[in-house]
Amino acid sequence: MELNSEIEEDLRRLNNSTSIADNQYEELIDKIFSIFTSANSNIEFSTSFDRRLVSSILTFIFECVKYDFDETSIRSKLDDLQFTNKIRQDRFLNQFNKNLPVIQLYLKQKSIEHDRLLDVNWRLDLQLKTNYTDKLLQPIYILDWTKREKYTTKIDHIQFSCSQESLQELLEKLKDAQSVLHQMQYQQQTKK
Amino acid sequence: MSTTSSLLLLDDERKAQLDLLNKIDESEYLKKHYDTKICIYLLAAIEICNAASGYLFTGLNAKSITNAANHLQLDIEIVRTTIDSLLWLYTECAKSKIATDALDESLKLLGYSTPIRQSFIECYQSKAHQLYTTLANDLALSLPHYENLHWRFDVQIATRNMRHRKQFDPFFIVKLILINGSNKKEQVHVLQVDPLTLVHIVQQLELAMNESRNNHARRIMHTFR
Repeated sequence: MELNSEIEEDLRRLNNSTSIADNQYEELIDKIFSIFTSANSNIEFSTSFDRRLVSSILTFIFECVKYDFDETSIRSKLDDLQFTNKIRQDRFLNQFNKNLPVIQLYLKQKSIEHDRLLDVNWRLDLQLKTNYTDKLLQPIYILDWTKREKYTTKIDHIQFSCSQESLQELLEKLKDAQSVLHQMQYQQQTKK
Repeated sequence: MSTTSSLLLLDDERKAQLDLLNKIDESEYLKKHYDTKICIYLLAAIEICNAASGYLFTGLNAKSITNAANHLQLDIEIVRTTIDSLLWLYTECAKSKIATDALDESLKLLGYSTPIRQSFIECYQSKAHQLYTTLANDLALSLPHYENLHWRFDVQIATRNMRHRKQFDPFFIVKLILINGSNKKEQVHVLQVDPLTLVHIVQQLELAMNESRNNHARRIMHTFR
């Protein structure tokens, strides 16, 4: 892990109980980790912490996860940075371990994205008549696929119609795809 | 045209336009070859019917109309309006899915002789299905519709953000191809689908599929049939 000198300096500041009081330190660490679990993305930090300090700690957390550091390596890294206060290290590591799975998931998802399919909705209509045809009587499916656009939280919809035959075809294809999952499960079970 | 009757009822203008088929025997060409009149008369009527059914899908072609008119020694404009009216007649037949005997009766009302009626019905029958499909699907108001779907199964095993951790995240990529209702242009959507989402979607679509086979749907279909 390589950190730039400003981040290293910020981490050293965390060690200093005269510039940051114990209760302030605790509040800071708790709030930073709550970013990953809170539904509210606008977490207010009290003005006594500058944004740089927050971003330095976040960078340190991400780097630890990125290189898959265990507790011992994080402790030795903090010691190297002269962040040696044992109680403060414990506080950090406690929160780190508690939130690790979420942070890992977050980093994994912060990769290259495609639009993501979330759900489908459907409706079955019976088409009876158009201006070109008198006796139609044709079942028609209207499908609405909900997707999340890549790199955003924007939800969008793909709407289309298909005949009974087309829906059957579409379903068969998706079932084929689904069967891959069963095969994979089976393979894993037999290997065990 | 009345929709309550199973016969096609035409207004006078249409009748006048379609009357050419009855007058073919008066053309100069036929007067000169009186002996073979019946035979030629048939040929001409059949030719016009054939030409009209051909134009259903290609659109009117000025050159072939001129050729046909010259061949029959008839006025180009008359041949054009006749073919135009025949096209309209074919379309109306397809629109109402007319039965053969009702069509035959309707053609009798136009004063057509048996050979012309037969030839018209033959032409109609050979094109009816295609014509009906065109009317029901291609011309009708429609949403983008399903064309094709491709899928791929991948596993994410490493990313820049998580270099030192073993990853194993299976997912599907689905490419959905739709055709726009109005301009026939392709619409392509590439979507990532998580395994659990895929299982859920298959379940939902199966429900949808079964819904069209249940008693309620059948009863409604039966009511309108």
